[in-house]
Amino acid sequence: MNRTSNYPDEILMAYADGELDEPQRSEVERAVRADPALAAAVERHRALRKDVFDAFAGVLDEPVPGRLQPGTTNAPGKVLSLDAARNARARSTAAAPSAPRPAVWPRWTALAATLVLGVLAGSAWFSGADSDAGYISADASGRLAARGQLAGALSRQLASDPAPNSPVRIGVSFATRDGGYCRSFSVGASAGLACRSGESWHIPVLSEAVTASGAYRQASSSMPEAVLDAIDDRIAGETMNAAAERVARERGWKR
Amino acid sequence: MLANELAALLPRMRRFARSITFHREDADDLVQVAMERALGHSEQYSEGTRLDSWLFRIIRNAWIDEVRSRVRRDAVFAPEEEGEHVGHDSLEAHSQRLAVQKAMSLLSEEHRMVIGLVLVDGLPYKEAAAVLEIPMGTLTSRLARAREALQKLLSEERAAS
Repeated sequence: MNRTSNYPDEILMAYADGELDEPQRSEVERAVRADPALAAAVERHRALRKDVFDAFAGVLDEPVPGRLQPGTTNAPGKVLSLDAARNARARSTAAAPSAPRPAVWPRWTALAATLVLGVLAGSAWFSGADSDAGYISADASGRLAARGQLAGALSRQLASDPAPNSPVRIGVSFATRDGGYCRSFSVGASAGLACRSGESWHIPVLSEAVTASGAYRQASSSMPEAVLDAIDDRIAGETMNAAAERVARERGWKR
Repeated sequence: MLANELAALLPRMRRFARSITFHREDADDLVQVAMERALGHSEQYSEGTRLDSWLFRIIRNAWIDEVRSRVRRDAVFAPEEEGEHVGHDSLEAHSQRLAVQKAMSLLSEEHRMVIGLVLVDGLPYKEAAAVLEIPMGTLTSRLARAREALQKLLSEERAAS
């Protein structure tokens, strides 16, 4: 007779994991004490749990790579090497054809770049939420949102129909995999990606639009790689044409 | 500040990610995508609920709808960390760890997830069920099946070696 059949394995497992409530726990405990077969089953569950735990426990002691740290802890000096580091990683990937494209690039660095830009460009560019000036504001958690002329341009301007008097150029518009809309933009010396979030435009990526020679690119010229990568990471299907943009604009960029 | 609290959870998130994917780089890419989503959607986190569970759920979703498709196609278990822990403990304990990691890599994705949450991270069943968005009954039966499958793989491995 297999007496363990009185207790389904799931119950013994839950007991071994400390998941049973009273009075069931005491009941199983008594049964386990009285039956070596039950005790062995419980012991197997505990041993496996310990083995699995031990197999991955070492990860906790590893230093966390800097690219995973939320932006504020990034040293400003790292910002300068953003393009260099990005290109280096792209090159090393190209050298190994079987490897996939670099999955994600540290956007924390791009966020840190924003803060630096804010300092450089002064309050006209980057401002606190209480100021009327500026293109971008950050809330208490460091999340960036478009404001002022940038917010207006993102909501109204079409990529296919640039507004000559606007300082903002829209690059591409596209639908995202998680059911929203994002648009790439450039303004002055910076370029970024803005994604519609509720009634505002959240800015997950912002980068300096600089050429290799150090000169600022034309606002309408190619987007920084960090922005292109961010687009690749999010886009569902193709970029939107003029007709699709108009429809999205009429719906307030909501899906 | 949410960013700081998220940063404090990074070691656990990396460990969970490592139990789902097989390569350190893929695991860290997964954590990075999840961290970005977490900060980008911080308004979806409700105060007073467990931040770790919320973040685990974001990792799971990021894995399913974004990262999974672009990890190394030839993803087979490669013990790149071999030798790292040797010296700190016995060779036997070391090879036991590798055996478990390898067996984990052979499990189905569902089984890896549930084991990663309950056995690797130590989440209570209730929290793990919430992360996976499944009822408690489904969680316990899935966990039992996952353990059974893992135990079987480990016995086979021992028999073969």
